[in-house]
Amino acid sequence: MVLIETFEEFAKAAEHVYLNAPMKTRFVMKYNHSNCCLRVKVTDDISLLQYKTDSQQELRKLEKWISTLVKHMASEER
Amino acid sequence: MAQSSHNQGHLSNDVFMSELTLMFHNARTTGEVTTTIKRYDGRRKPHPKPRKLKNGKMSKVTPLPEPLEYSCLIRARCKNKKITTVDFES
Repeated sequence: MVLIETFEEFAKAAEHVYLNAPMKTRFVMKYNHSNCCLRVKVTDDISLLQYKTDSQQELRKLEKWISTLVKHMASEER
Repeated sequence: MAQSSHNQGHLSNDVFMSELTLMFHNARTTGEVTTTIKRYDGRRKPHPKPRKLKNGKMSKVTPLPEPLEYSCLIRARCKNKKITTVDFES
């Protein structure tokens, strides 16, 4: 279970995985309100990266980062 | 036995967002909401695989055409309810 400590490290590694295999990579976010915990998982079925947070500040960073990735997904770039 | 879960197929973005909001609301005290995002190339059929024919040869496979445009497939799941939508950048 590769749980990455910092968001910056996680984002960099996840981008690498995604750009390497854009059609196979998926981003999974699991939120549990009673524990106030968000778990993010990025996998291309070969490697797996995980990140966990309960901070609103990290959530904002995550939100911005995901929106740039989603833009790439919907664009023409391969 | 009645099926408690049912897949609604692709929802429109607006309906998906309201259903997703409802999921988060219902999961406040208990349960988890899982959201999955992946790139989607618009294919409606699986990638054809070469199969072994009766004469021992492998069948010819015409690969799917190159995708014209990409979009984003978003799925959400809460307990036994699943919803999906496709998001186009336009």
